[in-house]
Amino acid sequence: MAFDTFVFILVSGIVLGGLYALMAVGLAVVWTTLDVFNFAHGAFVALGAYVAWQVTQFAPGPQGFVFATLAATIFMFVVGFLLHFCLIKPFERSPNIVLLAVITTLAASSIMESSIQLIWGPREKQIEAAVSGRFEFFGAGIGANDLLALVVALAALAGLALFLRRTSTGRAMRAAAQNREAAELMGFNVAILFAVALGIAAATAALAGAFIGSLRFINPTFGADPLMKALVVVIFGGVANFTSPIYAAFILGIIESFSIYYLGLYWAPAVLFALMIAVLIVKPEGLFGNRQKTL
Amino acid sequence: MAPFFEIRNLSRSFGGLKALSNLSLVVDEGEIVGIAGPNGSGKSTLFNVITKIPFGSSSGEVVFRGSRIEGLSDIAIARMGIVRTFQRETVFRSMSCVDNILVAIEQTLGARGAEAEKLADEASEIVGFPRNFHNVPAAALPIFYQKQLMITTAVAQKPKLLLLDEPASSLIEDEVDWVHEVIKKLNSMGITILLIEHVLPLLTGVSSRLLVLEQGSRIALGPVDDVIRNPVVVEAFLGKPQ
Ligand SMILES: Nc1ncnc2c1ncn2[C@@H]1O[C@H](COP(=O)(O)OP(=O)(O)OP(=O)(O)O)[C@@H](O)[C@H]1O
Ligand SMILES: [Mg+2]
Repeated sequence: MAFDTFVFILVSGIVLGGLYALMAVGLAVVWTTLDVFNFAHGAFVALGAYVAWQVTQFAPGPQGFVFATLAATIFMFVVGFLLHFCLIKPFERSPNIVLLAVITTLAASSIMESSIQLIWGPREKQIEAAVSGRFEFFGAGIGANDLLALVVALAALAGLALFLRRTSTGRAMRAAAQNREAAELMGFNVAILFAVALGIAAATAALAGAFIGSLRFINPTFGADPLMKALVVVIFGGVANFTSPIYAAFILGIIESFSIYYLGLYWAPAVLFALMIAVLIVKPEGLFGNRQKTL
Repeated sequence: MAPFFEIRNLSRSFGGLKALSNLSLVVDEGEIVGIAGPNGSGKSTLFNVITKIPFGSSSGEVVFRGSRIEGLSDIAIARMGIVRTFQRETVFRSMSCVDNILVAIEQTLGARGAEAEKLADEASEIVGFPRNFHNVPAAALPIFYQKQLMITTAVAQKPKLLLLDEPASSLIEDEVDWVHEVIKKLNSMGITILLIEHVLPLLTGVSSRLLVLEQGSRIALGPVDDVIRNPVVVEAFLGKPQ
């Protein structure tokens, strides 16, 4: 393989990894705090993308994209926050909470996808990117918008990490995730903290969705694929640390990018799932995991 | 003048169970009052209903420095200076020690940033909690240091009345001596203390008075020497070693 092809595949993999990281961290935050798996995460990505698309219809151009992304992120934070009280909170005392949450989040996912279809129709759309053009990078042409997606994803992850480590709400969220009983005993408003966690997950999903929508075409059910990838990432990397799914996302993004080149688009997902199953067999707590899960 | 702290006819029931019934007590500023009683006699429940953490009383009055507080929220009560520790380990195990302290101060006092960090440092200094443990995950500490962390967390909340729920449980003798010293030190700094403890040498060693509960009711209250000779107490509690 020529060196420029190698660089191109590698950079595409890293960009893919950045977007996977953003989505996987959203899943992981919900998994570590609420103790449930959020099957609506893909629909969060899709709804976020459509909201961003709608805003760019009123506000075109680069500023429009920035504005649309911000609006979608905030809108989805509110949606996620409120959904906690419909999807998870009513069932939290039930011994079947994990199973019930699978059902409620799947239901929410399907309702959101149908709503997207009703509001915006089934036809594919693309969001106008903020930047265009290509960089020459070791002989490979790298899209400016790909690079922007990577930088924003990394900045958002760093911001989220700072929020969790350095702010009082972040600390309280980690405490509630860690030991819900003790947090309740100490008078924390756990319901609000959990709602914030779901809100953050939805917001990161929206951010990823807006960028995916500017890189490819979107349709009402396009979130299913990112959800699957994020699931593979979370299982592959584990959730022992905030950074575990992030490393995993980049590794899988790069592997996917190379498998697409060598094996073709249709085999690439199979490679990822095979890797996931291998990790489940060899190290079920995830590649970077130990047996405990934290934020 | 109104007493420093007073409870009047405090009761709490769980369904048919009277965990606390008609308990009254007056505490002077600067006192250490020890609380004893068999398992399930309502000691921890008393701390719960005073602080409203996690629940309040069914009936009765709590008066702190002249004002009724039983209608206030848990946070308002903590901000007035009534702070408790818990009998069970309530450290957040995967969080660093300093985060454990900070999350509590942020929750109760609403302190933020550098101010919160200063409170955490001061409390570590007072209690003698080693500052080089600050960035260690709490779970990595031996139980003794986790107990120290719980006390440091309470002290960081600037208590005027400190409620300690079995600070010496599952500690060895030297460590119990450390608890003894730290209680004396906090008291000498002007903090009034209510102490629940099954380790009797500690309880009788630091307390000026003892309150003994049985099935939610007061069966004795008075100077330590009188109470431990009281035949009712001996029969209810001291006669049966825990
Ligand atoms: N939240 C609750 N719900 C129902 N019953 C409770 C609750 N909390 C306490 N109780 C009951 O109230 C009684 C008093 O409990 P409490 O924890 O105050 O005892 P204690 O004196 O602290 O005992 P120990 O020495 O074992 O700590 C017990 O019978 C207990 O089972
Ligand atoms: Mg108790």
